[in-house]
Amino acid sequence: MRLPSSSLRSRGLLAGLALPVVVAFALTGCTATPSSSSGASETPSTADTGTHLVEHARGETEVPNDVQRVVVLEPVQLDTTVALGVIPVGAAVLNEAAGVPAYLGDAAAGIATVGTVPEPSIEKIAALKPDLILGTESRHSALYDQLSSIAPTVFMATQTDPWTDNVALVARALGDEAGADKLLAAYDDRCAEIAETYDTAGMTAQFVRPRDGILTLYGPTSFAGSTLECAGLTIPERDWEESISVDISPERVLEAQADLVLVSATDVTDETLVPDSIRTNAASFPGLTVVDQSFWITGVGPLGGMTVLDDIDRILAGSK
Amino acid sequence: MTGTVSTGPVSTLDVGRRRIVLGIRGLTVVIGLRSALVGVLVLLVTVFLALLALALGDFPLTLAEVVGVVTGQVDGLPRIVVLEWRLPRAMAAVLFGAALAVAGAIFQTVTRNPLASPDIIGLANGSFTGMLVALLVLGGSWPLLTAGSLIGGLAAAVLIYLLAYRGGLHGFRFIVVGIGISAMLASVNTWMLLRVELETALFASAWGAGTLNSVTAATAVPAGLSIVLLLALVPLVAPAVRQLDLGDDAASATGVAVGRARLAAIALAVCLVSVVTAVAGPIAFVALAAPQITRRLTATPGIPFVTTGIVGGALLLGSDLIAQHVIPLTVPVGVVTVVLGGSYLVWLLIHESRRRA
Amino acid sequence: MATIPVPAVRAGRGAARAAWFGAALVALITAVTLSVIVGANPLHPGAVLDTMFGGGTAESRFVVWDQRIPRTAAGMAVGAALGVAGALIQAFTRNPLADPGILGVNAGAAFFVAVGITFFGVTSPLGYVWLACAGALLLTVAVYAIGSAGGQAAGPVRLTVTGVAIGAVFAGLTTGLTLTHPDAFDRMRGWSAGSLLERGFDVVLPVLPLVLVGLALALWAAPGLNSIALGPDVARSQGVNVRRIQLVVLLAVTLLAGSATAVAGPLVFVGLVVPHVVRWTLGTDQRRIVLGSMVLGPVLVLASDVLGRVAVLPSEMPVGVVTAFLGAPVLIALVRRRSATAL
Repeated sequence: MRLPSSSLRSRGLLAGLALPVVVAFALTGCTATPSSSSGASETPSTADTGTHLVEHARGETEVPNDVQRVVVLEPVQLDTTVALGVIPVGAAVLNEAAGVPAYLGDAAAGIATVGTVPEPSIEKIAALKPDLILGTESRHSALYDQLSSIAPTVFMATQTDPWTDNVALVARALGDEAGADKLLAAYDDRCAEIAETYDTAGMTAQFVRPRDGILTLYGPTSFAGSTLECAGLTIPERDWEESISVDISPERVLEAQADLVLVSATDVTDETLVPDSIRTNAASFPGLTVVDQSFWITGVGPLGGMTVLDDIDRILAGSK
Repeated sequence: MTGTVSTGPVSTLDVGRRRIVLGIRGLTVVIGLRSALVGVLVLLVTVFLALLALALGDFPLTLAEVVGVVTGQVDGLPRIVVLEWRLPRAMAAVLFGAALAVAGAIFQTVTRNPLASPDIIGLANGSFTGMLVALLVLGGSWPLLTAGSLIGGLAAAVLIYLLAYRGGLHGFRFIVVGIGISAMLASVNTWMLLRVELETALFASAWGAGTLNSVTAATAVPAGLSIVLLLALVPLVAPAVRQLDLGDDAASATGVAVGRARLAAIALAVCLVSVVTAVAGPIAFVALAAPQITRRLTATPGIPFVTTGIVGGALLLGSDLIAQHVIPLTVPVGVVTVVLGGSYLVWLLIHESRRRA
Repeated sequence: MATIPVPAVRAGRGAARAAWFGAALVALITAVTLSVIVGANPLHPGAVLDTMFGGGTAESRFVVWDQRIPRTAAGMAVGAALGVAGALIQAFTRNPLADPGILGVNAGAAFFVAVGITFFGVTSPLGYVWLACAGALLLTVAVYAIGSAGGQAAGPVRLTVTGVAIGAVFAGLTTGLTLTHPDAFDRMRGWSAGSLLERGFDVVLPVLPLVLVGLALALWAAPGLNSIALGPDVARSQGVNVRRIQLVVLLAVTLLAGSATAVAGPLVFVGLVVPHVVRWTLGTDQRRIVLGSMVLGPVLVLASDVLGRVAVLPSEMPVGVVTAFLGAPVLIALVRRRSATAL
């Protein structure tokens, strides 16, 4: 019995298909521009070239001195650039439907969205014709070459590094290190002011994020926790397992006790967002307040930090 | 080489459909006429979609500029956009779709089950586990993610094979072990996704749904070449797979080493799916739907591999275009393939039952 | 597809069957006891006993009466419902790999919950319950309607394929919805894991009537299913109204699986594994399989829940994650032990 020789036809067709494919890929390989940033010479910054050298997680890049159109791909970068007065032309956001976070104010309301933080859109970035792009190595590593072909690109290492370090890097990239120092000094001053006004020494505070019954306690290395401690409050001791937060079962809800207990929620006016385990034990949580998740957890940066401190100020004033 | 083309039966055997016969220096090639027509038609559709993919995008380019880039006259950023960003993604879509479709066709023919798909043997969950481990434990650079996904998927398949093998590979035991391992891996994935911060979980889940968003020339070229090589191996197993379609007894009666042929075919399918999954994540439904769509379009009892590959490529490219340009928010292409593929299946079910009634 | 063959009954004698049920009941009582005594909070068993009889501190009362006892009740209801639903769907489709989710119950529940979270701001398990119930019921009706399109009654194969297709579409829609709305994604990833946390009596009691009706229907239909297992024609010749039994079975599965998913989220693996274990150890009489699943289902769910409470202290692992780790090795071990390719 003769088999239908589709195999021979397959071979023929496949060869026919393979050839143009291979050619096409070879074309893309040949046209790939060098991966280093534009003008990647090793000369140090001079006033003549109008650029300065920035060292970052992906090496060194020549960045123009007077950046007008910056695109940022990470929340802390967005916060810092707005705080430094350089409003980006485009930003990657955590929530595409919601856009740029509200706490950044009116100045930031007009920033175009270039996709989500984990998956920004290269074409949208290119369409904005930026002169500097800021991203994160741990998230956007695969995109570095493509981004560099649009504009000089500077990457911070990871988003879990201390945010003050990343603020400094952004400031260096923009050529405004003095500005960063001013921002951080203002933050520290505000902390000291709150600590003194409310005599927070010895007062304990715990920041809690409820997640379907499980309670996530945030520690001193987290953004919220470090801000609380900056303001002089103490986070109760526990084993943080070298992480910014620890999850506990609702059966252990009493471990979250403190003088000041802050529960995060997406809507501060909604009482039902406080988890059952805490509401049932209300007697053990006299100093309970609901706070806004959008800046307490995701508002990492100088403006977010100041907003959180304002919130702490308001809460401590109210509890007097 | 001389060649003659004549239509009509080449022997007295009437298989009920028209075929083209090509005679080349003594060798005769028989092609189903309808199958070939469908293949060419879908290929044209694919070319059209590819041109659309090159022309559409968030970076505004006029049609003249696109043509200019293709002919080599326009340079600079438009050239980069078209040739380095859009072209690799479009070619990846076509090749990945073809790979998945052919893998699905092999699976469905070997298991004689139109609902069979490589997912049941834990490949999707296993590669997701591997990718998550690479992302969360090992740091998550792109080559690590690809490696993790490859290793995870293949390790899952091997584990299932080892646990199911007991003096032979019986279908039922294989499937049950596959379901068990798949479920355990899915639980591991769920647990890991629960523990990480939200943006990482979103990124991982988008990958887990199957996405072409992170396909660049650097990742697409090696994957594409591997797929082309693997697809070139398909003709070697295709005849044996067709015989398996007739049943194990008929197959061994015609000289096919049933066990070995089945193993080789499935291994090839697994490799095809693994390569795609390593780069783009587990894209669902293409492997399931493309062979069935092809079978109905070409009206053949079996699944023609080449046409299926072409249909799969068109499907994935079309889905990617919809995901990028029709849906206002960023969604992974896997979501589109699932919704479209499932809807098509549902429509088929309604349509077929109405015809029968 | 493997079919359920003429029984090679293992526990054929009445005494052996009684022993099986005795052992199962002991397992159930042990599971319930552990569920009350063991937890993330290291409460002494003596203190637990004390609290149960009126004493104890505020903390122990909270842990025992607000957390563990409602959870145990929820686990029992969910386990029984899923076990029986699984037994029914496997008998109905004559496919030992079917689970209650193939009718689209999980996909429908998940989609409605996701829509509720995204567009209507639903945030509590009580809200999820109603959404999930509605979604599960609507989707099962859709699957049945489409599966029966063309005028003929929906056969098992057709229903399975339709359920898979529609389920996949809605799963895709849910994924698309949650990936574009991070807050919803955050809540859904917790719900989709399958959990008994925060499932108090206020969540379980509303669906309890549905579960009880479902169980009753299951017990009523079980003898008929024995006949149907021999083939619809044989069943009809024995005087069994095949169409009616099939409808009752579908209704029971919807009520049971829908309620269970509404309470705890998708716990699919329970409905797959429990009837298998029961069938392999107790035989193929559907009445006994239904009863056995009713007892063994809660055992699996409670055992998983208890394990989840102590596996990752001070946090907890959701029960949905643990059931696969407990159930899959059992399933694999059983299927490797038997040399037959079918059951």
